[in-house]
Amino acid sequence: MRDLLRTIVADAPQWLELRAHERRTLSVLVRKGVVEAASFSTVSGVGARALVDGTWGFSSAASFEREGVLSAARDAVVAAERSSAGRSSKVARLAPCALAVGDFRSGDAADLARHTAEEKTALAVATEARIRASSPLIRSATVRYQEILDTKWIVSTDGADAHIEDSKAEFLAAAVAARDDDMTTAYMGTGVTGGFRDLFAKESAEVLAERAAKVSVDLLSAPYAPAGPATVVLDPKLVGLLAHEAVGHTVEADFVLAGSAASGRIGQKVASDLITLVDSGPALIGPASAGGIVLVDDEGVPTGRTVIIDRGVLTSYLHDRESAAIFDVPPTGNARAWQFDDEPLIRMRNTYIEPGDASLEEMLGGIGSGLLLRGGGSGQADSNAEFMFGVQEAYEIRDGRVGRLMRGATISGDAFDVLRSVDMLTAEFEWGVGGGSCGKGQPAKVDGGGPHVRCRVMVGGR
Amino acid sequence: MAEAHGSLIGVCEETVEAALRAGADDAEACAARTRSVDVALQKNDVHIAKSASSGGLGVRVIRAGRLGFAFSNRLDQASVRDSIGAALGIAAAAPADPHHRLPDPAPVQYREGLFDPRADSFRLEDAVDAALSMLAEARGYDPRVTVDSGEFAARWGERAIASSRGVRAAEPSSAFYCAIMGMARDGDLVSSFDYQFDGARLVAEMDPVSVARRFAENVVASLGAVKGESFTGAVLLAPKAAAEVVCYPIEASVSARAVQKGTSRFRGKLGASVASSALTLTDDAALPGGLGSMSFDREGIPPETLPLLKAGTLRNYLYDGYASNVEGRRSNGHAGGGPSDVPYVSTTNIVMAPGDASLAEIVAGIDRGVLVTRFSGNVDPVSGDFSGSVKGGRAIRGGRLAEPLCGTMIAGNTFDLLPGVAAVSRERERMAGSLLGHVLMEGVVVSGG
Repeated sequence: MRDLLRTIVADAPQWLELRAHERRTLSVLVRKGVVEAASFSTVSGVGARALVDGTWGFSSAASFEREGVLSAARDAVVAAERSSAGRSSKVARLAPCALAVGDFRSGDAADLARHTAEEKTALAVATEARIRASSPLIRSATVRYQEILDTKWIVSTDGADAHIEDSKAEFLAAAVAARDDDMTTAYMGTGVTGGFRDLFAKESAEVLAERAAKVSVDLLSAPYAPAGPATVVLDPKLVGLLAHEAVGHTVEADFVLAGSAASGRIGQKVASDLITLVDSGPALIGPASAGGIVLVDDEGVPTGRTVIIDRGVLTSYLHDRESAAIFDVPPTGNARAWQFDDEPLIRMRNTYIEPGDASLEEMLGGIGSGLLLRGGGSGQADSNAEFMFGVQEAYEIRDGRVGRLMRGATISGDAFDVLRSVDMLTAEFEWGVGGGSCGKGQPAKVDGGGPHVRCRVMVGGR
Repeated sequence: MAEAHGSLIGVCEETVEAALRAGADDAEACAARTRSVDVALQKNDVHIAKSASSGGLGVRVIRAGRLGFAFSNRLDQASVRDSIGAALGIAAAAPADPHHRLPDPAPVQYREGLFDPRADSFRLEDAVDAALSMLAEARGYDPRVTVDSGEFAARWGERAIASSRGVRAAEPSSAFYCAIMGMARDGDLVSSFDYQFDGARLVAEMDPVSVARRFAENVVASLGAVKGESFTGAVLLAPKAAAEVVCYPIEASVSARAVQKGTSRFRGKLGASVASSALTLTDDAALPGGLGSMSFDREGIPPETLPLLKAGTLRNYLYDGYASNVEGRRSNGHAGGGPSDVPYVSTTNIVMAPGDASLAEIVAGIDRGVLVTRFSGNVDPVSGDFSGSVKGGRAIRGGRLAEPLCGTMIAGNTFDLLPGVAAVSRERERMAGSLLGHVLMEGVVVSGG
């Protein structure tokens, strides 16, 4: 495959990037005792991106044959040529860097292959049954398993020549508890770049099932969280969401160039001195199986550690090669495409806040009245740095003690106000959001995490 | 009635026969072949132009009551053969379930207006022009408007389905889509972002300039927002917010699968009043131009147009093949998904009946309230609990729209609040697969800063 791509790229009279990608996915969905879906999917083809007269063109073909790849390359050039007149600000240059050459492997496809589809289906069926058996108040349960195996080749006219293998897996256990018409749902999920053993290294499927069941049942008796500003302790999962939603999106360079709240603030103090916030391609902290690992991005840029906020000061945006050239900085390896027929966009990878040195007991001890928040739902960010995300478990804190569980909480705030309010970080580190996906026109597997963080947020409740 | 279309149906039929020869008791193949052009905007400019030919085939097999499914984005014989093997392999791993039976065929009345004859001649340059018209409208409306991203896309092709039960259906279709997202910036003041979109089957029904105008109006109006007050009372949900807060939990709860599993608040309530008489919602697969319009569903069954809520009374649940097998009845044609999906229960187009009052009259009747242009939050479709931020919000005071709001959240339970829906506006907005009005809800908890 690489030879075919090399030959076509070598003959290209203009800038050309070819990305061949084969993705194999296994999905199992079990809901209330029924295997609603058990499926294999194979999606493969070549995406071609051309740069003509400072204008991008992209085309794709579901083929690894020479004629198909050539056709995609030709169509990408035509797309660029035909749209060139409409683009007012031409791409003057792409930021130079040493593009990836060689073989890159992440994950553990061999370990996933050691476990059969039958075994994975049986685990999903047994876990779902376990949730329902755990309490008469459980009305329904859902378990989803998914694994994604990627093989890619990226070759470009300016020197990328990479072969990439990656495997990612995720497992979700959800419980619905009910008392008459009152229903509560709890989700426990995990997602990794790795194999089966990595997926359950921290918590087994049984533990995830039991926790989902217990939280959904406990939420049935929980009052609604009170609305208003509050001192809160965020768990590592919510810290991952905060890093991703509240900060990460506002520093994606495409968003910055359109005028996001982070625009023009490099070098400014935007957070407490305690905050160092990083987006990394490899896992450089915590377990090595972070769910958003990308060793080489989809422009062929090797990834590393991008420090977004260094001890409170905004130091970097997240770039592809086009935006890096505009800001005259090295590219950060954040260009990602979901499938062969998607063009690379600026996306996050593993986004986290580095830990501090406090213990959770010390952190809670300083709170007269507040909330300990655990586990999140979906989140969204805004251009003005306002963010929101749902919280699964909100525990009352009174005089340093964790009290009753409350439901229905959502937190929001101005990302930089919240980061300025951080006054304590714990010493431990966990990844927490690898089981989900980020959406920005295309999905992307990402992760996020951190220590426990104490800060001030706005709580939406009743 | 049009004849099943082209050779794609032949590929499906051959796949079904091959699956039966390979050992399936029953088999179904669903395939699509499409072409597309798409021009993306970014940073107030054209970003990238794209063209693609794509497709794929999904094969569903049932063997000894066990279900297996596989998909490939390639339609060649080797890929189809591999998919059949993979589907049978995973069926062997799955437990048996007597309700895994494919639906029997039902006569398909092919609808007009799903395919635009102009699609075949739609060029990339046409998409560039449409995208630029959105950019010009948004930027021309006010120089403070900045477009982060947007697109104008056209997709056309055909889909086909065949099964060993005798289902055989195919039809061409086209879809045009536009979207625009961004904000307004005035010095250090940055507005909330706004996102507007529309879609239609026929290009003549697209009005990207109006979509861009709506976006520009919203972001400029939300500049200089201040934190709102806290109270419990009237919230006026614009169509996009109503889609999330009002329609989403209803759509999830009329799924017969949710009813059967006990996770629908509408279980056992057919014929009962579940909402105010102001609310009438219909699932309409025949909505002219609607992106959810179709002649047959993911299983080849024609979707029935069904009232979901009629003047607040629950009238119907939506069934796919599996859910209908559980109750021993026929599907009403609401299997959703594409060739890459195992079918699931889905709506088609959601149509909200217009109310008697105009939007201006509804606003004039609100003494104290909040207009929510966009809702950024969580809605639990099972419990109906919602909580999240007001975006593009405006205070309503003394019957008039007042200052723009930020830092304001709303919370409540959709099912508990449905009986308190006070009004639906006469004006409605089309958003790809739905046609919705503004919805006035009473009793919502509003939390200011």
